[in-house]
Amino acid sequence: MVSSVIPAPEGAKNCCATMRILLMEDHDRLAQTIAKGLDEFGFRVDAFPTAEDGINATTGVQYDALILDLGLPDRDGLEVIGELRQRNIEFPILILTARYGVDDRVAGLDRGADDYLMKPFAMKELAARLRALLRRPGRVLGATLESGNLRFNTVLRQLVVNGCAVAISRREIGALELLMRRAGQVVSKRALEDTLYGLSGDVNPNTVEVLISRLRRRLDDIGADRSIHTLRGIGYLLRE
Amino acid sequence: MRSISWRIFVRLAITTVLMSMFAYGWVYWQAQSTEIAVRQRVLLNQAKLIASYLVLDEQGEPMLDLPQPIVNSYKSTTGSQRYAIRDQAGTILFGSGRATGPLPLFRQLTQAAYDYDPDGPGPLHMYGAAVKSSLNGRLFFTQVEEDVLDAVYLRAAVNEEFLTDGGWLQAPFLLTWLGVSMLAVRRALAPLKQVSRVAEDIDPATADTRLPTRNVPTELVPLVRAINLALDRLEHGLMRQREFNANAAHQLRTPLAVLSANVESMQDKSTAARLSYDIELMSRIVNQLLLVARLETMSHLPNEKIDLLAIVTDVATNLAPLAIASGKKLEILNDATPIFVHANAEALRAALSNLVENALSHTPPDTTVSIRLTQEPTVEVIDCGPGVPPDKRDQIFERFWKGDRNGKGAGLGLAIVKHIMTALQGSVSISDNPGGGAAFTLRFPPATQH
Repeated sequence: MVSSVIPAPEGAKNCCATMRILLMEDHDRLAQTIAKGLDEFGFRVDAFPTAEDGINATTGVQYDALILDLGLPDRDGLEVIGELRQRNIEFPILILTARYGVDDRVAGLDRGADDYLMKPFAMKELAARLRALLRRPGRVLGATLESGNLRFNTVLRQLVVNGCAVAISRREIGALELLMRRAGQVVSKRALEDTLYGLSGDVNPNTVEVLISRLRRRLDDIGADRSIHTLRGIGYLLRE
Repeated sequence: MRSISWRIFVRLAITTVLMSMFAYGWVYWQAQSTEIAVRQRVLLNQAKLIASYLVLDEQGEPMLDLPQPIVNSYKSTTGSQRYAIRDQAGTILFGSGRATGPLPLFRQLTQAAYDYDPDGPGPLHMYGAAVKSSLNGRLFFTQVEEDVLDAVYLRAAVNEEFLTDGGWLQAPFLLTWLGVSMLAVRRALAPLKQVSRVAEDIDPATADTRLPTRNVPTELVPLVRAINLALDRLEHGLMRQREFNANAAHQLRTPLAVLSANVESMQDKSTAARLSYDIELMSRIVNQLLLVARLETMSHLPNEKIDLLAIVTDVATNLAPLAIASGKKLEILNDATPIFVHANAEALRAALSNLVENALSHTPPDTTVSIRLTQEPTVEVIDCGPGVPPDKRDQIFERFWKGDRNGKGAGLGLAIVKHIMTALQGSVSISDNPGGGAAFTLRFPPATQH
């Protein structure tokens, strides 16, 4: 396969603009270390110890995401989610919880949170999950996806490797987009089928497998430093 | 440990026997007094009969002309009866030979019954009857006596008759009494069985259940109330324990999160990596300890019908990045049909996570951990590690048992798996993977059809 080489589009750089994160956490030291830790990953964090202060802050600043501790002193974390969603504040919300119970997490997700992370956590994982949330379509990072030396502009539908654009089939690019949006996590075969071929469900079971093996070879050919792992019965994973 | 029924049975039996003995005694005494009266009448008649044969001859002398049968009966050597006829002075005019006792007091009467001891306080006792008669103005006394040995025979015969015929009446009476009592006791204690059944189902998950006092005999109500009060206190303790668990989770995890974040931002990256590894280890142990604490306060997990394949896929999806990161593979072998089991999703997820994590940590790099589902339903987790020798297969599920003392983990993972499977009324077992390595099998009771 020969890939045509074209210059990378200018807009690709805007992915690296600082993202502003709102943090509601009453534990001072944890708030400080999260702020410091995320700073290294290119996030700017404003931390507030109470729900009251945190919610007030949303009126002045356009935040890209919220990290919410469920155990705030003045308000229940679940209530905070409900109130923010009622105010049509649409940024993704990631719940931090020290509680083990599945119920809290499910309740949080039901109320409109997007993801959860249990304490203690690795800063790397917090950053990765934030990025995954922000890579969703319509989010800050949703326009340009980055993974290793791969960069994909979702608006122009253009894949750039090491600064050079490569031509790639529409189906392959669709699969890659999904894998890049959830880089480091498993994408089920079913999710790929649904996204690429619609929900009609009338897909040959081998179709996705054939497509992925073609995409894998393509990534090798164009010198990508990321590869697709197949997990039989589970799904596919683009190694971040 | 004697049952109430047994105690009542013993006491009733003793009482019944004593009452019977008293009744026998009374009847015996009654029979005896009747017998004396009968004997005296017989003796009196005998005396009157003999007196009727006393006549005066031409010279006016008394003469006794007894018919031969009567004479014979008093002559018999075995006979214990004797008679005598005395004149006014008490001189014996006629007699059967052996001496009779002295005359009794007549007290204006013509006849009298009496008894006396001829040999002092010996075995011999005499019963007698005397008749006063007058012929031509002369008084005569006729005595008839019988010794007591005869009376004993008579009495024995009467008693024997009574015992053999009348005594048996006691047995059915006694049995009926005992039977009715036992039935009454059993009926009265029946509500306790209901209470026992309720008590059997009380465990940490149903700590708010209390024993019913309805229909319980009033004597036992204080006991049931006291047990309920004890349950109140235990429930209170359990609640505090649960609160403690929730707080402990928060108190332990938040500082670990701070520590972890601080270590990650250290300048010396190689030291940071080593410390992060330790923190991760500690976090795992804390998580597992908290999970164990949580599971122990809920021995019966609330169950629902869940798709085993969905849970397995969920767990595998979460652990796949970890597997890939350590150069290992994870796969699910199943024909993609849902398998339903009756289980608690949260507990099942925890059990599967622990099992798959365990397999991933033992399988060497570049090998695959397989999760196989069957319709039985079972879930097999197969690794390519060193396997588990047969003699270690029991202790591997014990808390804090670690095959490799320096290995990662607290040695709690498999104990948790076993605990959860037991609570789900399933089981976990180990076998050898034919291709090398260990195969852990989770077995579930089949989901009931609805």
